[in-house]
Amino acid sequence: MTYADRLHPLTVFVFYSSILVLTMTATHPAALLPLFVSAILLRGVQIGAKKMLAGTPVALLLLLTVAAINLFLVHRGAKILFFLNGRPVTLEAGLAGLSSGVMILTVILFCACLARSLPGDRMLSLFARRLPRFALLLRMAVGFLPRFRLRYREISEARGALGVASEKGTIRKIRARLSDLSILMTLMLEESMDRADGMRARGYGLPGATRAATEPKSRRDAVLAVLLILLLVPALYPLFSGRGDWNWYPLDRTALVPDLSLALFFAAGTAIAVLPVILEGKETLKWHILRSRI
Amino acid sequence: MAYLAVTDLTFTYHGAAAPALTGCSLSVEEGEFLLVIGPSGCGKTTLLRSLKPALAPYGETTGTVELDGTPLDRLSPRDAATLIGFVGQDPERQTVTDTVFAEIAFGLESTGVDDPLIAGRVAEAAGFLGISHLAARKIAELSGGEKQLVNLAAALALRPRLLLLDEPVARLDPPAKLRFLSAVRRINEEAGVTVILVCHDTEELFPAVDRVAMMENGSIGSVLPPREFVRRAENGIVPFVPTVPRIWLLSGGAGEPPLSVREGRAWLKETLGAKTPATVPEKDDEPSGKEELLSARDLWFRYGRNDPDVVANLSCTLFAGEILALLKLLAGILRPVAGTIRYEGKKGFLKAGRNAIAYLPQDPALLFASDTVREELDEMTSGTPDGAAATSELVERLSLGGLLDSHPYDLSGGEQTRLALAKLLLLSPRVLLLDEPTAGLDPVAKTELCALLRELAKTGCGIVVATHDLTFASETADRAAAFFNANLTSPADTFRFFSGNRFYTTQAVRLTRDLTRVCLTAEEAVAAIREKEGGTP
Amino acid sequence: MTNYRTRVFLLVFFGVLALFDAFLWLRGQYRLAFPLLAFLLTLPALIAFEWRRSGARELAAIAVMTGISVVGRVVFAPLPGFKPVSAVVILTGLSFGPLAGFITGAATALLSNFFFGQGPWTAFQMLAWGAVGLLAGLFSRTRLRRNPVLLGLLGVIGGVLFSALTDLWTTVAATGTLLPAAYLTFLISGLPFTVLYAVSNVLFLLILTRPILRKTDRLKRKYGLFT
Repeated sequence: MTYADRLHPLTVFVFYSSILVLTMTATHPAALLPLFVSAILLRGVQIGAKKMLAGTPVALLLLLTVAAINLFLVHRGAKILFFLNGRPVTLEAGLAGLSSGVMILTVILFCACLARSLPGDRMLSLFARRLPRFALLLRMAVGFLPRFRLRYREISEARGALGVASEKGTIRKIRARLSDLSILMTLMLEESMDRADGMRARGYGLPGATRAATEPKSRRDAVLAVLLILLLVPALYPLFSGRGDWNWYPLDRTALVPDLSLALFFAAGTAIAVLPVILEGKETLKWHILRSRI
Repeated sequence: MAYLAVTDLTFTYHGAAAPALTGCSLSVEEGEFLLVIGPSGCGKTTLLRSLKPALAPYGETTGTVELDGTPLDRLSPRDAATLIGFVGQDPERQTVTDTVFAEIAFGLESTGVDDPLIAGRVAEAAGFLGISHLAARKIAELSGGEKQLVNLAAALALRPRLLLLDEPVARLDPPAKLRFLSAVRRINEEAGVTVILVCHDTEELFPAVDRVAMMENGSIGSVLPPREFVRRAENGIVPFVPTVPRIWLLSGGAGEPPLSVREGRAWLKETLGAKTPATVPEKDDEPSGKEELLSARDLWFRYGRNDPDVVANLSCTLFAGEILALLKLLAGILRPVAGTIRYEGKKGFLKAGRNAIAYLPQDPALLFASDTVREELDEMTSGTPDGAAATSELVERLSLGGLLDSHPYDLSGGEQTRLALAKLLLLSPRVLLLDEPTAGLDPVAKTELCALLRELAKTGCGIVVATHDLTFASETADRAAAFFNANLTSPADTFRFFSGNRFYTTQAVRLTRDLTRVCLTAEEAVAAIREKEGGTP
Repeated sequence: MTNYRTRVFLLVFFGVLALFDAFLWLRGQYRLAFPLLAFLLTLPALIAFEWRRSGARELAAIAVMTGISVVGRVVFAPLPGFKPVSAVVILTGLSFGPLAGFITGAATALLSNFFFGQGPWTAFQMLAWGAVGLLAGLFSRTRLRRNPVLLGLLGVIGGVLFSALTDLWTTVAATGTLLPAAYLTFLISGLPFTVLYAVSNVLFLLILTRPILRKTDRLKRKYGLFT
């Protein structure tokens, strides 16, 4: 059980969306780095240190690749390290690349956290209210998946036993596979007409349809929403005012002097990202203690 | 005034030459339980669908249908959706969403039930049918029987006053069948819902229903209470009468026709007098002198390393020219994890194809890839010299002649089975494996299939049938074995198998045990009763 | 189908996001502006799908096509580049029209990423596959839809568009801006995959189109779908 399981999906989604917006617009290292650290902590709380360590090489590789891409593709900046094919390779490009890499890693980590906090079916329930038809389509398709895989197996077994598919040659084999796929498609389309009858039999398409709220909103949701809004106003200020912008090209000494007046706003952004770490961390700890008591 | 009044209903499908329903009239009282029987293609489904506006087939209609005095077409769409519930044949084809709760709630949402009430209504329907524990489950994880109960709950949640059921148990195994039918009885008896049920499995239903309607060629014949129905049954209708009353009917019984095994035994005892000790004639379980066609030794199978065993340590033998009532491993589709299969004495993995083993899956439509029956058959004979002759002979034998230009999916269940069999027989197989070939077939089609298989066996073909249909197995097979706990009980002669069992056996055995000599089928029972009545030993 | 309040909500939602996107654009926040733009381009089709009055059968048919292409993507996952998704989406478009094609493509991207990982790239994939389906759908009522040249062209466009849009995200994410030189480098380095996408699309389409179109045509006739 995670803390997010007890929240309304919308709360979780809006929370993570805010964090993602802050991350993707964070150009200032002082804004980005705390978010990066929160992402690592949150993911760590979710999957444990062991799995985090196992994923580190891949993450580092990604980070360095993005930095390298930037280093060799962007030729702006004043601090020239060396020339490649007559074009300058600059320190700024490398640093900007590292920053991009950190940003991408943070986005990926937060997206993974979101997927964990809000599994597929809860995520889909978000569409149900405002895009009911699309949401129903997604639910139906999800419901089909196991059946399609089973039917595909049955079809290839039965067709295989017929001896039609056991002919030799790669092209023939591909053709046989595709003909299985085509049978699957035909069968399932035919079935879907029966399914549609089942829907109409139960009044699908009548005006004034309602939605069953399987997940009620609780006081927790309200508290978190208020907290989020209170934090989001200052956190978004640097983006809207333009004061949080950070320019890597060119990098000069004055830019490195910390602008203390921004610290408060970045702290608000950090707080939004740290909040889930605290809540989920507490939850993990609680279950840990509960288990050790047994 | 009847609750449902159908008056002179005639319906012609769009573009069809002949009407599917002609002059149907029917009146059903409130709270009545009506069973509709008849051969497939007689218009049962068309009639049932005509009673539900959202499912009304596309075509030309004359005549009227009134529900509680209101013509159906004047019923508001919302009333039509809620007042009339519908559950169809295939549990796999009716679910819409991915979870049980969402599925049962679907109709409530569509018909605009207010949000706070939905959960309660879902709980009520699920609770009444005893499936509350499934609410959070994914539909895909459920068994066929559970899915069908979910479909019933989904219809029930709308609080219908009329429930239309179109062969709802045709694809279920016997325990699931009983569970579903008893749920329907409870809905009828405890909640007073009017039920119209189309069903081929009449054995358990005759004692339960109020009236039985027979349909033939698009019109409704007699609509009578079950006992009256049996008493007046004429030639064409007899195959549709369940085993116990059929035995009574054919042996010229007097008095009230018995409907259940209990009533049947009481009647038999009265007619025949003293008990006869059961004598089971000795017969060899392994037919001697027959050629061993296929044998399996110590087979093991599972789909994945960590999956449960599907087959564990199984051994069995199939002889030429016999029908064994019972599989994919033998077809060489799946490779066993361990063990050996011998085919005509030769060890080795079998290649499917010509002159070897053919496999008929439970859903014959899996085999169809073309747009017409003719193309389906041509697919099998391409590249063989006398394919055309073989095809036309088979078409004749399986009476597919009139269907050659139809689309395989537009055929009825029985016709699809015949087409799939024709495809397989074009491979001139030595071994034929059939998985649940009788699902959804009417009694006449079952008898035809039985005759066809017996004929094939005579030509030296070995046949294995996996089936839940005990009556079919008893009439068709030479030997029988039960598949249980990933293994097979040792195959016994069909007669010994069924006469030895007390519960897992045919109605005829249940009826005649200890009263006459043991009889597997209705025909044998009738003969035995006549014999005994005639005084000959 | 949808009620008044939902319509207003969707319009306001779209407007606010569009304004926000324009603002991000002006401020040079391309990393967020681009995915948001991709999403904004997808949204009108979703809204149109919502507002169009069409029945349960159409919905069920589209759900089947979506399910098939998701299963296709998952089943073929071990072979990079060789996926029947674009082919199935194009066939849906050719059979059932532009909107059905778009929705199938977008829904496939959204659903299959529950297996492959969601992220800003989902928006680009939804747009790419959706657009291919839409494009194919434009020919659904013409005789051209069985024309092998058109099928080949659609297959190639499908492959190229998918690469172009996913590389767009990679470029913007890595550099923070849209430098043509960087974008070009990504496109060139991804060329083998693009070719593989295109070739497999064309292959799948040439084999599948005739049988599938015959079957969907029969379905449309028999059940009066998408008329």
